[in-house]
Amino acid sequence: MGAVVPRKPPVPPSPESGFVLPLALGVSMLLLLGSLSLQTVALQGHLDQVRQAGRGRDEDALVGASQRLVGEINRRHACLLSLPLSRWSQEGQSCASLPEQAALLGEAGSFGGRLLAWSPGATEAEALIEAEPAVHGGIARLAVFKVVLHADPLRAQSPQLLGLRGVAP
Amino acid sequence: MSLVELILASGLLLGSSAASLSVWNRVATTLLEHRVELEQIESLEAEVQALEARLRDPRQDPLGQELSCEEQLQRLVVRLENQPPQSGVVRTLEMPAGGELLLIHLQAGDQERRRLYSPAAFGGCGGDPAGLPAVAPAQALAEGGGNGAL
Repeated sequence: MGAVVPRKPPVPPSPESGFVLPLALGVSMLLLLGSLSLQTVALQGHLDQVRQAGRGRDEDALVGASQRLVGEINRRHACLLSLPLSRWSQEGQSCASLPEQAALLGEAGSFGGRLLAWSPGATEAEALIEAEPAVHGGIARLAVFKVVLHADPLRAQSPQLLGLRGVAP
Repeated sequence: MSLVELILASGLLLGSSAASLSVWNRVATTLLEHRVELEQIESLEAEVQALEARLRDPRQDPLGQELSCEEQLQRLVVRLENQPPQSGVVRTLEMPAGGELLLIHLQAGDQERRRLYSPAAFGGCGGDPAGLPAVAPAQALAEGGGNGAL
């Protein structure tokens, strides 16, 4: 018969046991979450910047289109300046044939954009212009321009961008 | 506190700290780059605004007088050449379409803007007498009542 070895009593868990690992885990999570939120803020800033640069390019394309359209009307079709767009096809043919009007309205697209609306007043006109989609890589933008009308001889002067009108359908 | 627990916790802290530092470093670099790009975008925008103001300045020679479009174009070019671009902005002028258009190319770092102007859009050139209307704009509007398309 062997001697009976007395069993050691189980050691009670110390109060510090299991405390360090959860603490490290929490601190690590905080660090990583902080980093991620910082990166999100940076990305958001970058997106705003890209949007701002894109808006500048949109404005450039629309200003270019307005200059070419108004220049063409001044040069060859000044009688259209006093007529709202809805009356061009009937009363505007004295200075602009229907194919020439179609070029201004974008069916030929030779001016970097097209005229969607023309509302003349006594001394000013408002023009709604859409830039060609190809200029923006597929995104067409609209803008309203104010144009000063010079009476004698009738000419449009210096189209001025009033504001962008969002993406065309 | 066992040794295994201590080693695991230290490894976790070291790993997460290294990852965070790497992200912070990248974010700081990106923010610096963005700041430079933003300054370039803003200086280009300011240059575009100055350009527009210069071209539309009523104190300059009135543009509404009869000139050939070539003369008008030269006037625009002279106006711009009298106003040097802001520091950091490179401005080049081109005349595509046989001199009927003025293309202004602005560059600041990697950012660029392109503005196209037509001398005829300033109202001082290129008018065709045959294209002039028989009625004044105000009279035509009174007759038609405007289309209210906008």
